[in-house]
Amino acid sequence: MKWWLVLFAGLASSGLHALVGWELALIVPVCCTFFVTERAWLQGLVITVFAWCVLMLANYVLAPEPMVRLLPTLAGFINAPAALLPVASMLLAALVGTLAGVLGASLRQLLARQG
Amino acid sequence: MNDFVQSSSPQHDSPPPRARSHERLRAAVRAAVCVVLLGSVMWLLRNPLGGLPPLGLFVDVWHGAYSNARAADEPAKEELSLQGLSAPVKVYRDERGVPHIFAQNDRDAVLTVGYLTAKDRLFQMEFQTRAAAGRLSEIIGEAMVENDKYLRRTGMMLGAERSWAQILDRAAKGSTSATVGKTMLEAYSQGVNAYIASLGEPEMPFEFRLLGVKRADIEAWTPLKTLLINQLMALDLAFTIQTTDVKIALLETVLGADAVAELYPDHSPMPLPHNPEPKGVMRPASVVYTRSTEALARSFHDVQTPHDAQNTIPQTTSRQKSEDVQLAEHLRVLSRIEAALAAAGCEQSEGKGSNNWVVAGARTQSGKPLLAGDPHLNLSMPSIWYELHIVTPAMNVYGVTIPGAPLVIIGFNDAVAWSPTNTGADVLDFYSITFDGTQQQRYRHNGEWKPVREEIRPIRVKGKPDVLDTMRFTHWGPVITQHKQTLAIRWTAHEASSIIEAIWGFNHARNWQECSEAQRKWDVPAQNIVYADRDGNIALRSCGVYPIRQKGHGRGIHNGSTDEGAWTGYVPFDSVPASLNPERGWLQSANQEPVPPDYPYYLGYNWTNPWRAMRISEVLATTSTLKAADMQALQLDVQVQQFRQMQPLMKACGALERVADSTKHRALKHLLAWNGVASQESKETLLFKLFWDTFTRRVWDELPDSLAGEVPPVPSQDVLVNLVLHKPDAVWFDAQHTPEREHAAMICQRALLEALDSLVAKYGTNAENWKWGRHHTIVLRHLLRSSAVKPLWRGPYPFQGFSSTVLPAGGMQSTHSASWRMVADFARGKPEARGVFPGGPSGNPFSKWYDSQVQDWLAGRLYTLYKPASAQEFSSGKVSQELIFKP
Repeated sequence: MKWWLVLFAGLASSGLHALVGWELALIVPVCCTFFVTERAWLQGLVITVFAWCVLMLANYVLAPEPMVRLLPTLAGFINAPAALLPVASMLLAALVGTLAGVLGASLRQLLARQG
Repeated sequence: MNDFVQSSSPQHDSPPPRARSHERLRAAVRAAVCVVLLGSVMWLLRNPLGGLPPLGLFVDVWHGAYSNARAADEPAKEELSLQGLSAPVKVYRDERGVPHIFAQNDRDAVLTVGYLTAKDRLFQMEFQTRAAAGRLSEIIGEAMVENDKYLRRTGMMLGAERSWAQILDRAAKGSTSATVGKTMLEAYSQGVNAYIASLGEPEMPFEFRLLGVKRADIEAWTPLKTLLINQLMALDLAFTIQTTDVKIALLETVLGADAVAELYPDHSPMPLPHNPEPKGVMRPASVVYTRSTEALARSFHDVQTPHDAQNTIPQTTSRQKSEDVQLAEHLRVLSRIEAALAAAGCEQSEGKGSNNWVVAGARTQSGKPLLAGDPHLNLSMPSIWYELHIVTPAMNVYGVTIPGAPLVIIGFNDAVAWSPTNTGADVLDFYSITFDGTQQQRYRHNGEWKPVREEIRPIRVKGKPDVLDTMRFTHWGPVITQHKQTLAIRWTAHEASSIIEAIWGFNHARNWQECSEAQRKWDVPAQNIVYADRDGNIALRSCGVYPIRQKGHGRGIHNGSTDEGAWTGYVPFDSVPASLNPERGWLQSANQEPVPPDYPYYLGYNWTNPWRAMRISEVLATTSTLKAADMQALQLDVQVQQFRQMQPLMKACGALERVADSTKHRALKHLLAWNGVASQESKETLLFKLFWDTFTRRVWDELPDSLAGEVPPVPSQDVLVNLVLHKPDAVWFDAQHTPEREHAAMICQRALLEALDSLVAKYGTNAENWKWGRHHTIVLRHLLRSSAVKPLWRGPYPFQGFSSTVLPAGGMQSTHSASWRMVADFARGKPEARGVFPGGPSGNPFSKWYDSQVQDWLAGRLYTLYKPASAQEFSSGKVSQELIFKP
């Protein structure tokens, strides 16, 4: 898939995430990877991680000061360093993106015409 | 740039059908595994696990807690539609985030207050009203069911329902003040509900999301909820002192009646009434019962009891338990109630109380009055108080309110200023109930069996089926049963209240007469309210309703089978403790007994020790050119009165001569020469604390370690000091474990030596480590109190002060202190004021206004309370946000 397509898919995914939640936003990587055969998991991962990065960045642009307070507060609940939370979020994005990528590719194989 | 990932290419060689089929099967398995895994992740992120909040709250970068962070950053200008307004309302938030509301009428202003407080403090409002209604299980879960049952049995809901019913009834009959009250309550609810309606799931207050509460669980605000807020406040201020009298009654069996009378007297041995001089005291009128006994009884019990033969109790009754055993069981019931109250945030704690004082122009530099007030309550995050300024054609009022209440509770307008302290009067009684059999359908009263009224209401439990709760009511009030012991509660807060009308009156008052009329409507909780106005008047009145009992007092558990503990009326308004323009030129209250012992009515016992009142009186009495800065300094005063009282004995007891170690000798020498100021830097305070604790423990070694499983109450500090000063040979100073007969000086010496040993053993020999601020702290806990939400707490911070200093800070880690400080100055005619509370306007922990005032509060700084008369006068340099609400 072209890099700009991945970029576009990432933006679309972040938009959907913001509008209807991350669960439904996974439709984007699933659909995109439906059309590829190689390393679909990686494409799903990149699209989703990129989408979550965009949203994280948007948070900092929209509410810079509260964001500075948010991370240590949240991390305090689990006695973890503040930086762990964005990392955990990105790991989660990577996980669900990978799964979405594999799912898309699998669906393509499953639904491919017999020929 | 090259392709990021290789594109798919057409497949030229098709695999054989068998291989293709195999490949499709593998794809199906892969897809199924992915779906299952994704589903599991989704479930994990959405649902709480093992008491933990849903993980999605932490990791979802948009709809998790991040959405609360975005909501914390508000736009500089916003225009909103607010249904119910009759005209546009302009709101400026100043540089501290305080809303200044400019409305064209009171109703619109109150509606806007509802919207804004909900926006800033919705969780607090919901949590507190659910606590008052015994509905915490709905948001916390099964663990709160038992607590909810006890909270329901305090009767807070009963009083709130009666209050609302009475407001509706009186408004329907044309009462102007009731109509105003109804309008305010409804408008406020409308404002809150407008905000709730605008809430989506991700915008819900963070705490709700932590608790896993869904948007659908947030219900509409009602006038009843506002009234419940007042009930919870009344509970916090009146209910938590009730176990003491049962404990004292039990102590009689250990110590004897005379000893108990000496150690737990009805009146402080060091009395400091609000105003000791006759001139200026509004003398008590003759006793006038405001309601008949029957009327009072009926108000609690709708069921009429037929006087027929069947209801007459047979002469043979079941075997009575001994009084002591019964008392012990009563104590267990009360202790269980206290535990439930603590879960609702109403704790009995050292440092709970308040100060206020007012000084006439004759004693001020400006020749005009000064007023100061600082209520000492639980310091919570968010704060109990919400600061606001309301301007309408009928009022220009500034001060603090409790989120959930529509108007200013402590504050000032263009003409008057006021501030309350808790009276601490005995306004709640317990009655032992004898039921006829285990069904609890009838109870004994005045030789008859009377029917019990039952009320079955469900307790909704988060994630579990509802629990049906059967509450029983006698004519005394709701009953609590535990371990076969039943107590009925009667409390002034069970009566219909007109507090909303009183607060409205304070907000609008233009002079003493109008304020006095408003005070007439102030019933629950009973408060000592200081007052000053631009006409130069100063006043202090213990506003509230105080029951008169048939047997003359409210101590102990009353026998509910007779009328001996029945209430026969209330102290008439004109007879409650009150002073206006006393000759000495100042008035003060600090929760001490408000009246001299010859006051004709029983108001209570178990008063707070007089140390704060003593210090305030000393400062006000010795300075005749007081100014606002002096008021501010007095609010921060940390001179330890216990030390000042004990210092002569400590010097004379001979301890210094017996200390050989040079470090200890130096430490004690410094302590004996100490000025008594418990600053953070002081090294003497720590040693005095160790001494005072040891001395107290050694003197009261006659008290049992346990009293029916509870810690016995230690006699008040003023009782102890009074014995030291006037009866140093009292038997109480004799140590139980030695053969010799000790007196006060001997115990003092031993306590000092023991304290020195403890100081060195616990804190080392480096005097730098003895600094009070290194060990004495203050912490602002979150409303939920749970340590699981510690990231939402603030502190602990090093803190000055001591138990019962004017700036109070009891214990080594204080949780209660000045929750709001205000100083009003009438030097320029109209009052101007400065104030601060620990916290900030916002309840959103990610907002800069969540804790924005904490550091200034810690430093003792006050903010100028900016009160322009119109939106046009509002300085543009002070605006941090402009909100326009349109109908």
